[in-house]
Amino acid sequence: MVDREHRRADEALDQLEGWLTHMVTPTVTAEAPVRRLGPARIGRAPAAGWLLLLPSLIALVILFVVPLLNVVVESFTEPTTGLGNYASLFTDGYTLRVLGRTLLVALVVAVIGVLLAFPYAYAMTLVGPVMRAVLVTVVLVPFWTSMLARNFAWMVLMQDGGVIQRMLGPFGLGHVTLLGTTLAVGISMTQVLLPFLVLPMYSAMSQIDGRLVAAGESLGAPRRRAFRRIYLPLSTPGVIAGMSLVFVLALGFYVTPALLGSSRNAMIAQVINIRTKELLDFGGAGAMGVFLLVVTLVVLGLSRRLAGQNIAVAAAGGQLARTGRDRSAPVRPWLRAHITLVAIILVAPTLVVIPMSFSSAQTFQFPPRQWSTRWYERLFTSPEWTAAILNTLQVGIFTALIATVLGTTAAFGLMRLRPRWRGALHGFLLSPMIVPHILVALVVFASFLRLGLNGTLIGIILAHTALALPFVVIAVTARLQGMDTRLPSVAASLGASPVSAFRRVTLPLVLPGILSGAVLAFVTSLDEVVIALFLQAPGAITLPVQMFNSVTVQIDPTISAASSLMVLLVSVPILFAQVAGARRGKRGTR
Amino acid sequence: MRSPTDQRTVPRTTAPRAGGRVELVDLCKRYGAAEPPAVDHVTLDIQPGEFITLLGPSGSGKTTTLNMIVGFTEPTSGRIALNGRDISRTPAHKRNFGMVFQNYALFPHLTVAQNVAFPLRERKVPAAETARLVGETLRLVDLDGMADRRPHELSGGQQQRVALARAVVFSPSVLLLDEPLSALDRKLRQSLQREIKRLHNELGLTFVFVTHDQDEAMTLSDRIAIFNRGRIVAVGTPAELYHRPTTQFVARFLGESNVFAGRRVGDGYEWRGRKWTLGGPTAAGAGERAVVVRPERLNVAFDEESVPAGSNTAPATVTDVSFYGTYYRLELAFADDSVGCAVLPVGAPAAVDPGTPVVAHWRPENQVLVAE
Repeated sequence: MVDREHRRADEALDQLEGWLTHMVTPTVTAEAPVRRLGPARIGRAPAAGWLLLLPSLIALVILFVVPLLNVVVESFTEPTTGLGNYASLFTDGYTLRVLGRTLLVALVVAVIGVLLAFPYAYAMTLVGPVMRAVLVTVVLVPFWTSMLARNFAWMVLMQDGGVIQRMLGPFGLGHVTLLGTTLAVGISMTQVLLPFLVLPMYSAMSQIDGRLVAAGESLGAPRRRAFRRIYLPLSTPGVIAGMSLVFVLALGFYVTPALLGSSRNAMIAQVINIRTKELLDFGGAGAMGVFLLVVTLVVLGLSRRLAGQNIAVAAAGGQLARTGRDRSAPVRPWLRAHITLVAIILVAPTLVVIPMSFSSAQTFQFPPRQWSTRWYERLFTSPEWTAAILNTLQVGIFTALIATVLGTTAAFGLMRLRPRWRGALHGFLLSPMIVPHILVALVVFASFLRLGLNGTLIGIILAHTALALPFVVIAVTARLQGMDTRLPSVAASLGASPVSAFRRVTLPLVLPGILSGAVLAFVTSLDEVVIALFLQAPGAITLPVQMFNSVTVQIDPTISAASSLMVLLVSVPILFAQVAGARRGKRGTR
Repeated sequence: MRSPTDQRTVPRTTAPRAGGRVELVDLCKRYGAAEPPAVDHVTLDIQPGEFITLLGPSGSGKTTTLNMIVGFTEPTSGRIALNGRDISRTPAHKRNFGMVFQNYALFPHLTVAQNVAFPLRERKVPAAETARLVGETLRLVDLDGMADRRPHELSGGQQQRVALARAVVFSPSVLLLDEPLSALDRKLRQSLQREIKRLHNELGLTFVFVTHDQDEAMTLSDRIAIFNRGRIVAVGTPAELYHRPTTQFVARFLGESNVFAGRRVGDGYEWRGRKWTLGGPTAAGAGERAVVVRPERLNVAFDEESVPAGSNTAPATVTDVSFYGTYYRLELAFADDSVGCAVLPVGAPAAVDPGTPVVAHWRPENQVLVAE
């Protein structure tokens, strides 16, 4: 039983690890060796492959590429042609300060994150299977807790008179205000992004043969130096991958600074938001967005180069590591204390959200003094909240449907292409993941404004589809690549027509990938708030937007009940997908 | 409504039935104008019920030929016929060949029984009939009791038995086997070889077996077709090919050989100034000729005097001696720097040390004159 739990946790981790690797190194899978296709390769007809890819390519070009290019062009032409927008980026004192603050916060978040995550990931490689399952689950908890719910929880914890302030009281720091400061933003961002650091690092570390350090010691290096000279270099690919991913994600963060920061210490995303939505200054906002994009591409490019060099080194010694994974090694007390702290940071917001929702107070008191279900009553009876819930479900379901159909056909199409095309197009299909979220929001807002899609659910669905498509492509492609490509031919040799071979062999084998792609698409849409905020209008307010507004526009404690509902809405599909995936995964691969 | 080329039939039993005849006529496969053809004018008449092996080094075209027979690869030119009917354009799923793949290729999402039932479901065999046939076939390959396992719960040998059962359950008239044993260890391979031979005897099907393992080919086959560079360079029974190889390639590929490259002089043969008597089989055709002597036909003497009269001789140096229980094996270096070997029964001149100069000798009728 324990063993199965452990395997399930490990599979979940492998899956996540796959997605994360993709975010950092988009074409890795495309270049992965495809099993000897033997007789009838799936890619016998490249023409059919292009046909299958066509719908998603068209969708991506219309929804994403053309609007993006438009914004890029406008950043050079609006309001006047030239480099004015970019010049003011670096000359305008205010913008410069915002830019510097954003880069600094992102860097600090990445560095602090590494310091927190490295020992945690290292401990994951030391402990036994049961403990590892626990640690994995703890890392995954934030993924199950919606983004807004987590930020809301930090708001509650860091507000004046909140838990953290009261805890600081005995140290004479009781008067320090956290909420509204850059520190608060940094803490919350670190927590939100921590899983993105732990997972790639653990992935790199689990490839390292633990005996290497022992070998180093036997060659005369003291334990500390053996660790520094052998283990650290081998784990750098994971550190670089995680750090650059977190840095890049942090650059485009909007929700956290908007909720926990203040306009006095704004970050770039907030400025882009104001320029876009209030000033309709697409040129200026576009220049900022494009700058973010350039920084992102440079950082990811550098990280791929750096990590890529090291990955080869790590892989060379790593084959044996996995087999020895079930041994557990002693975890020193300081490491124990560290992982406990990190675990608390990871889980804390989730632990706040649910009790909060049963509070009876009008204010965000934590822990609540009196209990009631009044906020749930309100959540499910007040017209604006119920409308938001329905809108969210609608958007999520349609996004999942469209993205799954497009992504699945695209993944099948990719398999039929020649390798060099496959790599390029795979990268293209994943491109919405690389572009900073705030820039996507700006791009979508600018183009949908012209198309009259702003303020409509359809607009939100289309934008979410572009965002969710990569997840489906990744999930289905991973499954297809894990499949023995000869099986359809085998079926044919046994008398199955192409249709029958697809229905009886290919589809059942790929279905787990399609399902987990669908779940991911649904969850992505459900939890997405920035684009939904940009496109919102009275008739098109999703639950996250309603939640966002309920703390920024008017204080409405219903958000605590909504947060709990979000936790439920996000975690149930993910759990379902994992259980189904684990069950099917066992027989799905050879 | 079935097209006339649809070869699928509804089976009634796994009892013996006639094997099919497969004719390959002038079969060619080119992948690109620049590349050499993968299969180059292959013509082969495979008799009903025969066990034929396509043997050759990797890349010699044997697997491509098999893939054209089963219908995975379309021939560039040429014709394939099953029982006299042209099936060159028939899609794979209508050809009704059974095929066993390298590394088993079982459907991982189906149980053993479901894997075996797969071809029956495609042929719309009624459920009761399917259950009976699956049970019968699993018993045939010694797997009864495993029906509800999944492939990943089976050992390699068991998986290959499932693959065999799946390929014969619908009573195809021809069974194609693509290096089915290459993923197994030696011991398992031998036991499955016996299994395959037994199946061949019991089912009476035509077996077309692809391998690069010459021992496997020798022990299993009625006939062997040797492939090299896309062509069939020799066809014959294992004994014929072993005792009367036609080319150096065949001699070297099938079994071990001592190959002497000299030249014909009149009605004799000259090798490094030695005159040899001709005798034994002579391959047809013109061109350079080499003399081939199999290791067990070669004797060694310590000096020329003790060589029996009428033998051909070649001086050599022993480079290594190994003891194999039933025989000794001597590695030899001949005067022209070519290497060879001799196999001597235990009790023969045993005390030979590496470095000893010897005279290799053999009866002229035990040599074969082969083409280059």
